[in-house]
Amino acid sequence: MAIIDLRDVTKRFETPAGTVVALDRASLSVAAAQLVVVLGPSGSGKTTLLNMIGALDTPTEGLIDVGGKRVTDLSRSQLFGFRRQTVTFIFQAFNLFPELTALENVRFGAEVSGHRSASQLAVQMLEDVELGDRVQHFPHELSGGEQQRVAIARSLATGNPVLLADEPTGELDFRTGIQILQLLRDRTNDGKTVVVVTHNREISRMADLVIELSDGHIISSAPPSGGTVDATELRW
Amino acid sequence: MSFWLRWSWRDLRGRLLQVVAIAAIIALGSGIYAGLGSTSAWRQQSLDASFAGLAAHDIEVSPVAGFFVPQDQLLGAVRSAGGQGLSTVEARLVADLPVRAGRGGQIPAAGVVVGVDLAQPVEIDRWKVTAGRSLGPGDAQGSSVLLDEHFADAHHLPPTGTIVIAGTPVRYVGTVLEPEYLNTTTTFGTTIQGAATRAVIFAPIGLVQRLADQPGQANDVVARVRSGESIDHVAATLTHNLPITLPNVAMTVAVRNDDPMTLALYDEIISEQKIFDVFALLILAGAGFAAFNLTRRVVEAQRRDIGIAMALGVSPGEIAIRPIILAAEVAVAGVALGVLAGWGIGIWVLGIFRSEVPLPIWHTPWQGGLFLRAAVLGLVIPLAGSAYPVWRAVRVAPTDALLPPHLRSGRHRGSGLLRKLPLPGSTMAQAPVRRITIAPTRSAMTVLAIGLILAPLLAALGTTDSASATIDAGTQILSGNSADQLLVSLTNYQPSTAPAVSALVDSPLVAKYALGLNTGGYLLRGHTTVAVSISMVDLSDPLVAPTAVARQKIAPGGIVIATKAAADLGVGLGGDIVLRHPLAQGSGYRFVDTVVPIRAIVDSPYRFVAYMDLRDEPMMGLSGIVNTATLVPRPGVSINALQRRISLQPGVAWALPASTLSNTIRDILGLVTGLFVVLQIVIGMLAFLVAYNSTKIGSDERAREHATMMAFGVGVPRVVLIGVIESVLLGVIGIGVGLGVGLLVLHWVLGTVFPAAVPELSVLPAVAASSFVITVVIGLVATASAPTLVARQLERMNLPSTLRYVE
Ligand SMILES: Nc1ncnc2c1ncn2[C@@H]1O[C@H](COP(=O)(O)OP(=O)(O)O)[C@@H](O)[C@H]1O
Ligand SMILES: [Mg+2]
Repeated sequence: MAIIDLRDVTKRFETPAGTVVALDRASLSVAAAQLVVVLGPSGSGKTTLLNMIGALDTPTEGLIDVGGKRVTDLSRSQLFGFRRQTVTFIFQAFNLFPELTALENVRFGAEVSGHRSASQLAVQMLEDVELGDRVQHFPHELSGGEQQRVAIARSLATGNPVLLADEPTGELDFRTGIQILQLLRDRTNDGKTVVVVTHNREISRMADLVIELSDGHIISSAPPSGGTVDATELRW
Repeated sequence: MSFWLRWSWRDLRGRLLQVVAIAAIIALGSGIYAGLGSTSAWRQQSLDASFAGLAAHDIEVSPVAGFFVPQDQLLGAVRSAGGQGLSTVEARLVADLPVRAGRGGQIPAAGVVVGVDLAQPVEIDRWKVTAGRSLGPGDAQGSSVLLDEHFADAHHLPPTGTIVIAGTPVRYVGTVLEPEYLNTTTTFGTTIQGAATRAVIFAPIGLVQRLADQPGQANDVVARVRSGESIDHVAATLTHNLPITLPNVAMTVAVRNDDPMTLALYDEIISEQKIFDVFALLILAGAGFAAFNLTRRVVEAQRRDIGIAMALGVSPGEIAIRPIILAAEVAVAGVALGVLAGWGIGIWVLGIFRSEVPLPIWHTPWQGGLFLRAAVLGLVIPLAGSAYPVWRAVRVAPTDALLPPHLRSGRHRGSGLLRKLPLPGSTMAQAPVRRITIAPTRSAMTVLAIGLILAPLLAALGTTDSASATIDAGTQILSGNSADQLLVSLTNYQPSTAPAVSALVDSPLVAKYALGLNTGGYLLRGHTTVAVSISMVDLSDPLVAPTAVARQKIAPGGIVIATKAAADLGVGLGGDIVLRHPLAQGSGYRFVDTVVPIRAIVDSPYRFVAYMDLRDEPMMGLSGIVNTATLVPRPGVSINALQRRISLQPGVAWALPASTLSNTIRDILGLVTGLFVVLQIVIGMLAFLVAYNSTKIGSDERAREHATMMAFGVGVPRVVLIGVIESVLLGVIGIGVGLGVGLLVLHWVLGTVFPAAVPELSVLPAVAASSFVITVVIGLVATASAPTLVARQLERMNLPSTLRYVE
């Protein structure tokens, strides 16, 4: 059974300059515990697609099911519950809380989704992303890659089954990028479904499923042509 | 240039609410200053206009109290004594008679019945009818009268009705204001009479002659001086000529401009203005400080743009354009709204005065100068608020300017502390405290702004509390704990053995009594003169002497004065003081100076209170003479029954329970209470605006954090709650600061401003629990409610776009 299922999802933005169709009758289906890479040039509708799946935004038309929930039927308050329990975001801009330490940022993730002993869990998650020695640092005291790892740890601390990462490596250098991608790949072994949005075709080589977008249309949805490779084999 | 203007125009559209909200703070601050200031100017001009418009007398001529002259003879004597200098003269008979008003006559009062000759049109001290009708020539022989508006208003009497004068019911056909009787407050012995206990009644002179049993007599002449003549010169001529034109009767010639009752009306406005000024300036300062800080924060939020511009090499002059335009918008809106607020507050406060201190004519022109002064402040504050951060911004490295405001170096002082300080609870529960500690300077500014705004509120409320507590204490000291007594004033000086006196003290309703003589005098020392109202009584009788004094069995030949008088004169117990007192001579008296020792100092808050022993009467040339009696009813006889009986006795000017007199000051305080409602509302609004602006700015800066929280499924109410708790925490500290500063201000006002403004009263600081509660509640409600207003903004937040871009 698919954990993410989109049927004929269209998103139109009404702007003073006219209507922008960011997503046009997009349909897709993702099985659990897969690493999905959404690929496409800038402006092709990748972020829009991701925001639809994460219920940050609602489609103009179409149906969306995530984790067995019909997202497009949920009320406003149910959408908040859905974001607490089912999906979790990793942002290109990290969006860490600047006044919280690394540990506290991660604890926040554990707390919102209702975990007890959130502190212990947070320490565990930071160790998992190899930041066990930076727990007391504030975001501005961390490098970009470290911040992104904290953001991943925060998302993982929620325990939610669907991870949504929008250009998680966009702000990072190559080596750090690979590290991050490796981390995300590892999560699928724990049963998480990970959706990574990128404009970098190289990254799609490590996916279980590649969804290619162009101008709001899904032009292909298939495993990578050369078979799934390890993150360490990527080059750019 | 046009590029910056276009950008600024977009700023304004985006920040319109913010600009208006900060402007509103400036508006309220400068508005209260201009509004309260206007009121004082209006009251002074209205007094002038009232005296002029109703042809107030210039000179008043009257025989010594208790003497009467046939009406025509009096008028003729004054006319010929004044000669060409006088334009109009009118004779009157003014009689002090006990009065009962209200349904069933249950309101006792001291009546001042002014008999006016209605045969000719009244041309001096004309009436301004406030309800009902006036009296005209047709009423000359009738028994219709007019009632003073102050008294009618104090008891909510209808415009027409019945009033009992010395036992005779008469009909009053209207209520009026008259220029000679605009000041309702008079002292009598150790008591004060006000609007509620003194009923001025205007009646046909024939009626008053009958009621006072003085057929054909008059005892008062009011006169207007021909225009171009000097009033003082005419008064001097009268003083010189009257002993010739009217031998055998000592006459007093009084110029209205020098009349203490008239001067007191003006003094009151000036002293109230001084107190207003203190509060208005404090509020203005608090509002100014808040507006300065808020403008600064708004401009600081643009520092990222400033950083980019600097990195691109834009000159500081050009960089400053956008923040300065923003500040100018705040300033212009502030001044425009301030004019509105000042006008509104002025009208509101004027309304309170119109009902509490009615004047016949109101003259309320626009106070341009005051508004101009307030406007200058309104312009300067936001410009200074924007100049400071721009000046700072162009001095830091662009990289630093590019950080969000609360993360810049030097603004992150709280982070080290946070790391060390383990807070209990979840990260969400800790958020409010973190936000406060992460930017300690900013938090302190907000706290200070709230504190400075609330401080004048507590100080104002405390001022009323203190005055009220002082009055209670004063009543306690003067009358002890004894049950209510009846204070009786006689129409004339009487020998204590006179039938009128015996009739009082021998009444079967009276259990105990004490006789006394009330007279006025002055205490002099160096350049200081203190007017006193001397009660000559048996100083060993606790019925009439202060308890502490009665116990000491003080020897005659000295004086007892109030603590405040002793302090102002710089004399102590046992010291000597010059007493300027009346000395009876023939049918009149003159003032003489006698050095007397201070036998005791009584802790009265009223400076005018003074006591001497009855045995010292020879000093005044008045041996065995009394004009007042204090009566205690027999058990089973009510004070009211005694009052009714005694007020019907001939020779009684008035008889009032001591308790009604001690309420007088409380009535006067009613006005102040009304005014402080204005302060409460304005300060409540200011506190709310400060809290709102501060939350709004904070919420704009934290949009990304809030969006992240919501992306993780934290609901809007939860996010709002963080803001509410943060605001309330700052509010609570701010309230604490406000209470502390408020108490300091109160001490300062009572210690320096009050003594200068109201020297007759010594007020000690006292703050009622209710005043603390009002201040705390206003502070809490304002700070707790403001953040909820940003809920709508959070509801409508575009999460994807807020989260997307790197700042
Ligand atoms: N809030 C919005 N209003 C108007 N147009 C938008 C909005 N968000 C995205 N778009 C437009 O939708 C299209 C797809 O955007 P996006 O999903 O962000 O693309 P990608 O992430 O692939 O770069 C773009 O043309 C973008 O301009
Ligand atoms: Mg994108």
